[in-house]
Amino acid sequence: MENNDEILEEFILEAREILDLLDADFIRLEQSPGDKKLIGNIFRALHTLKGSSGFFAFKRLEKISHAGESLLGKIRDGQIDLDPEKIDRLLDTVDVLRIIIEGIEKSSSEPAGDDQKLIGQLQSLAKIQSLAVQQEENISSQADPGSEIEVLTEPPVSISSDVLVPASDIALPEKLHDVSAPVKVNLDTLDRLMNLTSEMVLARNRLLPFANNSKDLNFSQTVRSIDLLTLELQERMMKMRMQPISYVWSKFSRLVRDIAQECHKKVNLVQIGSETELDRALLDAIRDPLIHILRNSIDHSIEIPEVRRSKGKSETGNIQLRAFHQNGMVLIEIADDGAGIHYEGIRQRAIERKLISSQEAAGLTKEALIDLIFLPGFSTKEKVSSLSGRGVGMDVVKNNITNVGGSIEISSEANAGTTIRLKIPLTLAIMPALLVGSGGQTYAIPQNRIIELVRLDPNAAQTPFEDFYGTPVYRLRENLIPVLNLSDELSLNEASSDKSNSINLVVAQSEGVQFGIVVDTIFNIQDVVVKPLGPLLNNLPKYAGATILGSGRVSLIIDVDGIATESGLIGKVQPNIIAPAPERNQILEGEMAMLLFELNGMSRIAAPLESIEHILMLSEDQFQENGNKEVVYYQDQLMHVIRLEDYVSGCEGNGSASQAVFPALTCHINHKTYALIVKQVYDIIQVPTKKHELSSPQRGIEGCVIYKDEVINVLDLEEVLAMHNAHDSSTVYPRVIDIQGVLD
Amino acid sequence: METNYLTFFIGKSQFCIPAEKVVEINRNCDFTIVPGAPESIKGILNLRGQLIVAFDMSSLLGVISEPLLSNAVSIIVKVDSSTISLMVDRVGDILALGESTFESPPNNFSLHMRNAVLGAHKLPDSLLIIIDPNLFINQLTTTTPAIELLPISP
Repeated sequence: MENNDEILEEFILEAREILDLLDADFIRLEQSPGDKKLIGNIFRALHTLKGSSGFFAFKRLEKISHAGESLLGKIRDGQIDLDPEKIDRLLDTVDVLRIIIEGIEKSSSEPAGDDQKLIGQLQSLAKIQSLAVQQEENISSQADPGSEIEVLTEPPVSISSDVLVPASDIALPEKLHDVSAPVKVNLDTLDRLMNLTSEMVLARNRLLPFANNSKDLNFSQTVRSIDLLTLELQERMMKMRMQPISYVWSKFSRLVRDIAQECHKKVNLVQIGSETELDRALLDAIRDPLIHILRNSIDHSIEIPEVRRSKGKSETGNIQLRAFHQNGMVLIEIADDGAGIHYEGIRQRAIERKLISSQEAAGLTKEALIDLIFLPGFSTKEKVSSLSGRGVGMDVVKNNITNVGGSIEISSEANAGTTIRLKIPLTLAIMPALLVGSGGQTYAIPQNRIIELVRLDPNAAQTPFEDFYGTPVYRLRENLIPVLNLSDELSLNEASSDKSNSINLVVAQSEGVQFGIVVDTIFNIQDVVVKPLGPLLNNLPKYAGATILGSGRVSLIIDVDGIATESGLIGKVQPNIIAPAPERNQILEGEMAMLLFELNGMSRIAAPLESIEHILMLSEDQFQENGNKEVVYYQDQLMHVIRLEDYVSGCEGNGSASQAVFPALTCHINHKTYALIVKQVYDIIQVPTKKHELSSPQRGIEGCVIYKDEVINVLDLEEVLAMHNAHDSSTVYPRVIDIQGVLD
Repeated sequence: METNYLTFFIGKSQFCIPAEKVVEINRNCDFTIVPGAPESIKGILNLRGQLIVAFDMSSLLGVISEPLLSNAVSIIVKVDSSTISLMVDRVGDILALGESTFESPPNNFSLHMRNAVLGAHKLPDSLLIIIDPNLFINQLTTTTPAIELLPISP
């Protein structure tokens, strides 16, 4: 078989895909037993597998898939009925097939095993004649053709089916879509292409100054087109690494069904936004945490049917998986409608487990109690089941998520269910990092670990750090935080760093511990492409990788956790992490931050600060025409220009033309970046969340808030964007705006 | 059957590596130091977007390099699947040498270097030591060897 290694590898890949499809299809079949098309799909998939197995002389595979196929054939022809027992047996079949495939992958030959029992069961099921053929026909005729599940599987293209299987045996799907087949590319190849692309970007950066200084128009134009091409190349490359989250989710229907059965519960899993794309490496990283959360939801939160009925809920519990993009992150929500978190139970448990004292426990808020769940060795379920409740769990989940730069939030209401929210960065390959200088070298610190930057006055009479019996500490607003010197931690040569300069302190956080890192200089925050250091340097815990700066030089990325561990900080302070760090800049409940600005004819208008990304200064000549819309190309980004005066009632249009430069607020909504042109930006103000509705709706204004006894209008960003996107050049105020439709 | 060797110098000592392993010779050695890395690793450098570990050959071979030329040239070498850079003082010629001048290391040859040294070619006036970058790396990745200073006469 050695010569066939490559073909065999292909076969295994294909077989795995088929098995995954089978899993998903069977679950769907269970929900709509009359779906002939679905049965046809499954039948064909099994048939392909059988054909390929025959080609490699894998007898076990061939026999089992044959038995499964015959049973399915009878079901497809309506000779027998599909019932849960048959589904169970067929799923068992898929499991056995999977085990065999895994065996083949390990040893290139079939693992030994006796399948007589399973095959016997399948055959006996196939023999039982159904009395209810009529009934089944009724079901299938009732099924609305429109609601039929679309053929998701392309006709399985087998490496050997063309050879071995008579063409008449393969029932082709009714309509063949014109789908170009995807090409499988090795991740290594992709990475190399990525490298080349980022290098190309650097070369472009070096080229640009020449073009700017050159008088040769041809040359400048050529450079400009290279510039644009490079940009597009970079974007496409980034997209290539992305895969839809359905890659992970597709296996969940089966998983949920099995767990639910084991727990004697009924669970319905809904997946929304499965097309949301994530970096492939991240997908692998979140798979296990997601599985664990799902298990917890089914095992702990969803009640057994009797209890649910007595509570007035439907017998079937619902779990909703939802994924969507927000602010450059992917949000994944796992919401169930089960019993919710039993806060008192957590309190009791934490005291029992001596994680906190009973005095401490009494004062904890709900949020603080939820934080306890993430402590190692915490499990509230009395009975330890095989699925969950082994005490390893949420702490591991949290670690896995934070390791990839994400975060996790839980909210829960008694009897209404629990919602777990994961925030995951889009990609691991690129992350924002703060560039700092220390000992003459430039280092990058991941931004998601930085809490704040403190600049200390070098001319102060005494050193800003206090001596905690040998350990330097810094007083950060009443909190004492330990201080590390980056050049000491890295044993850099101190000679090049100038002590008389101001001292910059990067306040970072690791495992809930805040500490300061002293650096010489702070440069800027930029997106860096993370590259691994490779096997020769992989035993250096202080670095998370390296990146290539715009100058072409390599800069090391500091692993904040690694530095903290190496210096003994985490080990020293960890036992005290239970007390949650007090929120900084605490915003009073019911208040929100708003950006206050001026439009022509309206001196006070505000927009929620969270919707605004940046404030830029733009001049009129930067605007370019795109159809009937104005756009501006700024820092590699195309932004749609919105002159707010045109959309907000009470403003005088076109007044801003008299200004040479004007501020633009940028916001990023639905993958588009908009620049909102205003006259002047004033301040950030804290206002009550409660808005006063306007008696007669005003165009572009959502309501107003009171700030220092002054009425301030609040911009209705959604409406403005909707009006902007509606291609409506008339000034007539549209009566009904389908915001969702227009925004999509 | 002759093999091509690229010779290089550290201080006054001459060594060579099989030329087939050499990808390119680079004078732009703008490497970044990696604090905490083994002493023999000089740092990492950027070769067209690929991160490459640069080895300090003077430290690895235990030869003192000329202060002015120290690590002036980087020989980019491909071993197995990884690419590394060997920092040397200067490169010499490419020599085609046959079996007739080849000698294996003597029995009492230093154990530490046995894996890294393939043997030597007898040149008219000196011995040309052949370095095997392959084994160098294998050894480095498994254990960090304590490298003894080799008694090499100038």
